[in-house]
Amino acid sequence: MPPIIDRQSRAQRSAGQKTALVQYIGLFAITLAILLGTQLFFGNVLTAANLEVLAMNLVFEGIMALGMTFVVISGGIDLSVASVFAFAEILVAKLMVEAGLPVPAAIVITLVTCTGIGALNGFMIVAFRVHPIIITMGTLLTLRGVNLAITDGRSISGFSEGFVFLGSGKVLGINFPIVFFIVTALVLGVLLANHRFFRQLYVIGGGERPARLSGINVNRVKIIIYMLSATLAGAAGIMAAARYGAAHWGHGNLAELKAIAAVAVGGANINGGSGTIGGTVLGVIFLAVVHNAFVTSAVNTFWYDVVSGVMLLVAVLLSRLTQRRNLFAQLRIRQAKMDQIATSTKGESL
Amino acid sequence: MLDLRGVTKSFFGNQVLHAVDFNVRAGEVHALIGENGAGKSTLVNIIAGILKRDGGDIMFDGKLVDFGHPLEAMTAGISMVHQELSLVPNISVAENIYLRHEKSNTLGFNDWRAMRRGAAEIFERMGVDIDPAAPVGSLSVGMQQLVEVAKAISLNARLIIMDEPTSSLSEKEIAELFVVVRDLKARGIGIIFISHKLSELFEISDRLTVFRDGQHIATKDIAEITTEDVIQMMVGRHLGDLFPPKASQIGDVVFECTNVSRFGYVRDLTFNLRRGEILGLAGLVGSGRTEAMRAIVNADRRLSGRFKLNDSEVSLSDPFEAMRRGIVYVSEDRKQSGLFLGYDISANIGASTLQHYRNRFGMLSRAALRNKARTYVDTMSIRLPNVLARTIDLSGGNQQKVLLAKALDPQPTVLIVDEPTRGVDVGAKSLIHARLRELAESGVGVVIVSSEMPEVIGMSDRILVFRNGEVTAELDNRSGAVTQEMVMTHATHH
Repeated sequence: MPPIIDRQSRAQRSAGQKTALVQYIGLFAITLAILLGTQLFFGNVLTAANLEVLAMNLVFEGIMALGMTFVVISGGIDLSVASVFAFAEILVAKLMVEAGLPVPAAIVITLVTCTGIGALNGFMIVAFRVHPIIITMGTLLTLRGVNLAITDGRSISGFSEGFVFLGSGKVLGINFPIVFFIVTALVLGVLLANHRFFRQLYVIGGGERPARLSGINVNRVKIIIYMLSATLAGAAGIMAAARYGAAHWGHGNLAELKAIAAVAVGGANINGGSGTIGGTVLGVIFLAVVHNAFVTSAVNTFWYDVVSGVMLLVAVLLSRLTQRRNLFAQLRIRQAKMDQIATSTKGESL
Repeated sequence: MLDLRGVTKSFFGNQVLHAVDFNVRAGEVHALIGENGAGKSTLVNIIAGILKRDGGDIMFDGKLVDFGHPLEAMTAGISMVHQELSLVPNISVAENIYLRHEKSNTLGFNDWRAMRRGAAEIFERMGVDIDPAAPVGSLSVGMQQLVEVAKAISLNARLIIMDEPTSSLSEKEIAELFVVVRDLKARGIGIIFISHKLSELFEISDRLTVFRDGQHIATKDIAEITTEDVIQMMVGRHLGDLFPPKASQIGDVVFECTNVSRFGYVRDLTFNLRRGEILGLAGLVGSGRTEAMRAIVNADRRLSGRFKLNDSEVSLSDPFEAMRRGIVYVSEDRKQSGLFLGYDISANIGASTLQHYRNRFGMLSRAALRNKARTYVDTMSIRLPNVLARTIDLSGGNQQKVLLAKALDPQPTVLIVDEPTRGVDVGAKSLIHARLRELAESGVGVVIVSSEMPEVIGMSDRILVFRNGEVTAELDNRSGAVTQEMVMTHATHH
C-alpha cells in the first residue's frame, strides 16, 4: 500500500500564501513610501494634527468598507450604504432635535432602523434573485430621495454636547470615530478569520451550489450580512452628524464607491470568495494617505479622484491577471491528464 | 443497510425514476451503471437528501428515513462525493473537511489546531499525505477527491456515494483512490460507486446494478457477469424503423479539417465530410465532441487546425466567418446560447440573416421576415400559442424546431447540430430527424453530435467515436450494421 506523496501541495501552498502576503506587504510599503515621500518633500505630514486630518478624512468610508468586505466576500455588493449613511444622520438628528428624544434612545432607534433597511436589501436579493447591484442601487436612489424629501433639502443642526462627543470627542487622545473604526475592525477581523458563522461567507462566495450542498443556509447568511453592512453605515452616519454638527442629505455622496474601492485595493476578489479585514484596512489607509499627499503637496486636490481611480483600475487589473493565470493552470492540468490517459491506453484501440 | 422500495421521481411531468428498488449492504462496493439520463444521478441525489422523491420508501439501518436536506443525510451517516467537487478552493483542506461540523468552542470560534489535527489523523488512517493547512485549490483533482472522502469519514459516514469519482483522475490517482476504497470497505462502510468505466467497476465492486430509462434492470454479483452482459443490459432496446433511411447517394468531400486541437479538450482531430452524408459524433459526455465542434468555428479559441471548404483553404477565425462561408453550428444549449427567448420566432429565425430582409429603403422589412417565418412554421410544423408569441412560451420541441429553422435560413453547406433532440418529445424528434435527412439529401454535409446512442446510430451514415478528446474509431454505417455495443466499446476505457 504505497502512501501518496504530495510534495507539490506544500510547495504550492506556501506559494499561494506568499502571493497574498506579498500583496499586503507591497500595499503597505507603497503607502509608507508615499507618506514618507510627502514628509520629505513638503514636511508637516507626520504631525499629530495632520495625521488626525488624514485619518478623519476617510474614517466614515472606512467603517462602511468594513461591512462592504463581508458583502463582497459573500459574492455580493452593497451600493446603498451611502444613502443609509445620510439617512442615519437625518433620522438621528430629527429624533433628537425635532422629537426631543434623549441621545441613547435616538441612536438605538436609528441603528435598528438601518438594520431593518439592510434586512430589506437582503430579503429582496434572495427573494427576487436579482443581482445585488440592482437591488441596492434601487435602495440607494429611493433612500436618497427620502432623505431629500423629509428634510426639504435643508440641514438639521443643534445637537447636545454629549452627542457631539461621538464625532469630535477623544478617547486616549484619539478621535472617537477612529477608535470606533479600530475596535470594529479588530472585532470583525477576528470574527471573520475564526468564527464558524462568518467563515461561511467564503464558502458562499466560492460558489453557492457547493455551499448549499454543504448544508449552508445561504439565504439566511446573506440577509444577515446586508443587515451588518447597513448597521455599520448607520453607525458611521450617526458619528458623521456629530462630527459635522449637522445632518444633510448630501453627506456621504459617492461614499459607496470609495468603500468598494478600499475593499478592492485591499485585495478582495470583487466576484466573491476572498478578502480580509486586514486587507480592507490597508486599502482604506492607502486611499487616505494618497488623498493627504495631494492636500499637503498643494497640488490641485481635484486630481485626487484621478489617482484613486487609476489605483482602483490597477488593483482590479492585477486580480484579473491572477484569475487568468489560474484558469490557464486548470487547462494545463486538463491537458496533462488527457496526455496521460492517451499514453496509457495507446495501441489498445484503433 | 440501505434499502429503497419503489422510489419514483419526475421532473416537469417527465418521469425519470419508475418505482425503483435498490439496496446496499454494509462493507460492499455497489456499482451503479447506465447511459446518460438513465436515472443514476437522480437516484443517488435522492439518497443523499439533495432531491426529494415523489414516492416510495427509503430504509437506512432498518429505519424509515426522509431527508429534506443534505445536512440531514450527512448527520444520519450518508455522505456523497460529488462529480463536480463541492469543495471550496480558497479555504484550507481542514476547514473544508469540517465545514458545517466545525470543531469550535461554545462562542463559535473555530479551533484550527484541533481541526488540522483531526484532518491529519483521518489522512493517516487513509494512508495519504495531504497537508491539512493547504488551500484546496492548490491540490490536484485526485487529491481533492481524497479530501471529499476524508470529509465523509469525518462525518462518520457509514454509506458513501461516489458519483463518477474517477472521471477526471489519472490512472495513478485512480489506483490510489481504490486503495482507500478497499480500506473503507474493510471497515464495514457501504459504498455506491457510479462510473462509466466498466473495467474499473469489475476491479473494485462486489455487486453491480444496471439502470436504463429510469428503470432498475438488474442487480448481479460481479463474479456472475461479463462486460458484454453489462453493455447488453445498459443498451437493451431495439431501434426498429424509428429513423429515416440512410443516404441514397453520397457525393464529394465538401469539408475537411486537419489537426484541430483545443488546449485541454481536443487533440489533433482530423476528419472529412461529404455532400449528402450525415456524420455522427458519438462518445460519452465530456469526451470532447462539443468542444471539437466549437473549436472548428472558433467559438472557443482553438490551438491549431486547418480547414478546406470545397477544396479551398479557409481560415474560420470566428463563428461569423464560418457562418458567412456556410458552416453553421447549432448549439446544444438552446436556452443559453441558441435562442433569443424573449423575442418572437421571426426575430429568432432571421437573427443570422437580417441583411436578407430589406425593404426598398434599405431598412429591415418585418413583413418579409414574418412571411419567411410563416413558411418555416409550415415546413417544420412549429406549433405556436399565437403568432407573436415569445419563444420562451413555446414547448421544448417547438423551440428546438425554431433553432433549426434559424440555422437553415442562411442556407448552410455544412450544418453541425449538437444534441438536436435533447429534451424533445417523440413527435418533434422524428420530424427533426426527417428534416435533417432531407437536408443531407439536398447535398448539405450534416454533422450530428448526440449523447443518445440510438440517435447517432439511427441517423448517421458514418460514425466517429470520441474518447478523451480524440477519435478512437471510425465506423461505416451505410448499411446500418453498427451496434451500440460497438460504439460503447470504443467510447469507454477497458
